[in-house]
Amino acid sequence: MDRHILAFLAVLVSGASVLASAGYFSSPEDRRFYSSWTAVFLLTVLGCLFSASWLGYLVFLELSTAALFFLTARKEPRTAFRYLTAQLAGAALLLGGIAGAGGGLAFGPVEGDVRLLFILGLGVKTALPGLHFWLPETHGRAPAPVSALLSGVAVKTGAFGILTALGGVPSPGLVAAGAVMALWGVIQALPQHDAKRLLAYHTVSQLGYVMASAGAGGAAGAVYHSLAHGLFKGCLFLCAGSLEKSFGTRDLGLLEGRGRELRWTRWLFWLSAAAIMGLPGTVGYGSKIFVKEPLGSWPLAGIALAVANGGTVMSFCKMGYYAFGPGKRSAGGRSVSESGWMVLGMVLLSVPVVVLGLFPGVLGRLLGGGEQELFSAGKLAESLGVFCAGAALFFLFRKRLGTLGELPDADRLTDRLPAFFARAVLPFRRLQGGYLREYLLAAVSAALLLAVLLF
Amino acid sequence: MIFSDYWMLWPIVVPLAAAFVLQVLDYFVPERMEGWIRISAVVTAAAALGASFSGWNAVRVLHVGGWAAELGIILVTDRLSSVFLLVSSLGGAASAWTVFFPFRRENRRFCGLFFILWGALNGILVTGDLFNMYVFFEILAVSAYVLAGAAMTREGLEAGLKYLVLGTVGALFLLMGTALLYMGSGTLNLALLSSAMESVPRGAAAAAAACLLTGLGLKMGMFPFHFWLPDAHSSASTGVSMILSGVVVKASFYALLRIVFLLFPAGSGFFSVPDILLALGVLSLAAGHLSAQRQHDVKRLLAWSTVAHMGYLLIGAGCASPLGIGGALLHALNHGAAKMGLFLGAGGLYSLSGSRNWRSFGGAASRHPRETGAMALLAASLAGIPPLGGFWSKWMILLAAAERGAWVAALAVAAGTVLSCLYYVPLFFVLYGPSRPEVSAKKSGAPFPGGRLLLALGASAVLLALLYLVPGLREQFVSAGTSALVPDAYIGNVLGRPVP
Repeated sequence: MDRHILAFLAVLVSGASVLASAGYFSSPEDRRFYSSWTAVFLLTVLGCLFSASWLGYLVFLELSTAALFFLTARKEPRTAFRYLTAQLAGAALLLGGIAGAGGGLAFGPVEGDVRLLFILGLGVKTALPGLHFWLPETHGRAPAPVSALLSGVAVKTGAFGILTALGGVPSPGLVAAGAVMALWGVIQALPQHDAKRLLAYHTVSQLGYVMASAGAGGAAGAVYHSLAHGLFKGCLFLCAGSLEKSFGTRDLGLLEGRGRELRWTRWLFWLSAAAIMGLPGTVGYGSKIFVKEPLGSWPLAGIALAVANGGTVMSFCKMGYYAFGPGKRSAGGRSVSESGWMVLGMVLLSVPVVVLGLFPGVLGRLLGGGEQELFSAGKLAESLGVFCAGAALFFLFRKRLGTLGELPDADRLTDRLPAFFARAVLPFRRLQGGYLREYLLAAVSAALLLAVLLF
Repeated sequence: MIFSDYWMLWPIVVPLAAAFVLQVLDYFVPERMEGWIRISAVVTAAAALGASFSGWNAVRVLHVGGWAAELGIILVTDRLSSVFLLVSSLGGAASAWTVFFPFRRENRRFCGLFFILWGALNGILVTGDLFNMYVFFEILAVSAYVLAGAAMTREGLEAGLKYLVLGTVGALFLLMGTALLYMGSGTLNLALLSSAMESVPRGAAAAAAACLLTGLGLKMGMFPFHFWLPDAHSSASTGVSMILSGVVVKASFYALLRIVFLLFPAGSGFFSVPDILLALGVLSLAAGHLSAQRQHDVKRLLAWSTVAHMGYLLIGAGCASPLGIGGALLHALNHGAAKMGLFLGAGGLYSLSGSRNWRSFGGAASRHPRETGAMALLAASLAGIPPLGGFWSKWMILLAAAERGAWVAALAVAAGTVLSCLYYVPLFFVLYGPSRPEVSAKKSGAPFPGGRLLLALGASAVLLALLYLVPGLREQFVSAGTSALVPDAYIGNVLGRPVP
């Protein structure tokens, strides 16, 4: 059942992305390119979700990476190259794990030490702490429809892989990792000016929720939140893209509230923001409840997630305030047009956000989550309480937020890798000195060494 | 059925005869050479293909001159030879077409040398005698040295000289190894030697193994004997690079497989020869992939990539299992096709833009989209992107290494994909990127030299994947691996076959 729900998500987000591409890109060649490669991407993701063996899963995962590489490389080649390298490294770890487990392993739970290789390899796709270095740059710089695919679908295939590998066995390490991710994503998102980079860090944070739930053994919560996040994050990225298309910038400092004039974008933004904040009536409310359910034995993680929730509220209040809130009007009273196609894409994703939000139990039952009273007073109060606390904190600290800088992240280290790698390559380049005498010496000494070793 | 023991004779006889006939004809009727060269190439390829098929289902043995195995030279074809004869046939034909047709008409003066090279290559693949193998290696080497340096540039002559010196040293080591084994056992026939290895003293056997490994390593481009390869393969003309990187190094690998698994299967020393192969394979892989980074010259980049892929073959062989050797064989096919296609593409881009620096190839994709797409497919196959052929052969090698517990080798094979992408992706970014205005004005409309062959080779990247995916075909390669690893059928057929 999990696979079908994630497949449903993939189809919806891909459809929304194709619709949005029609509006976001101006040239017909671009639109054709993005639509066709998005279709290819969808097929590879479906192959991933419905594969029968781990090797098949990996093959389709690498193909989906290749599709996203082409989609990103057309406008942002350098970012795409770094994304490809990171994903291939993860896939290599996963391939090693599959080889270590025997090669013909059916797609199911993985036992033993080799499971670590699986988690690490899939962890690159799912942005586990330390392995997430590629995500803010890639999701932030790729064109908005592609970011929607990346954040909405691609990371979920990795999460699905981790869920399958765990097979319901709780993993305290993963719960801790999830809590760390949830907090770190929000801490980094708060100072961001770039709207898409902000959303990318929130992807890290929300994936933390998914990982914490998966680690606690609650597959239902993990899949529910994957679906919910895919829907509302996809819509949020398309909102950022709409701002970019209409105003030429996605920097919150430059927008200064101009987004107010894009009426559809503004309302759908607030709807998706409500979903990510976990307000009742949206799909985010039910998903947060199902995520928190198995975390009873890990109270610290539960507290971390609640704090992250508060931070998320603050961050989205900030984004909404600076993008769509009170501020300057466009010069000369010109009205700015909204791209109709992009709005259509956003609507496609927002409708399920509302429908599933009004009937959260249906999905919960499909996923096999526990029966529980979803709209109980306690839960409603908790959700609204966190919202009020976050909103209050935002208004109190609004001016200070603008001056914060982002903390150094793992990509500072990985940015140094190319230089380090170039220096590591030098000894090999020096060996090829061009002197025949040196080559002969190497050959003869190697022959002597071999004779000794083989004796 | 229609196959007989004599089929394996033709791949040697036809090209050697053709070489002499063609050289003479070239003196008298140079304007009619095209047709004759074409016929010779087709007949040689057909002969090699026929020999390949004849050896598939039965081990074929031919006693040359009617002498028994102890005294004379025998030719043997089994499954392992069949795979390499297939490479020789198709690779040789593709190279012949490239050397003589799209590029320079003057190349026809090398027709004799080319066919001698091809004939000697086939000789290595079917001979059952160690000294005979050395003789064919020498013939192959002399023609290869001249063809590699034939471009007559200063760089080409220097590369040819280094290839000559190091290759001759390699031949010296081969001869020493052969001599040590002959002195210890009294026979030169591979099958008889295999049974007589106990009578060779331990020190002599170790020295012989080291000498043979060194000699074959110098011919094959194994680390640390690979230093000539980037120079020679990059300075040679396109067709010659194709056959050197695509076929000649594979013939040396075949010889390595035969000699190691017939004569030195398991060591009495601390290390066994397969362990050494694993270690040298990992080093070759590292040296090749790391040295290919930041190469400006596209052909040198491809030559270093060949060193790395020889590393994959060595790791597969070093696993000493049917899966590992079968994976190495499939990889030999994949790499042969892909590297030949990439060299062809590089040669075409060089002749279109006038420079070997790949940073000047900008905009090639907009002018020649299909050829660039074929090159991209081939590069992706070599890098190991599924579901292309190269991924499956690497997977077989990785699985074999993991089964054996060789974690470093497995990690190296897995990491190879990332390392390859690091140098292929910038190249393709340039190809798919914008072109410089003066270049596009001059070159638009010029056809891509060798374009059709490149497209055919590009299709092979996809078709070769079928060799793994179609049920039953994968087992054929594994069975070829078994026939290499467990040479009982080989020895039994050679020893048990009566002299006609």
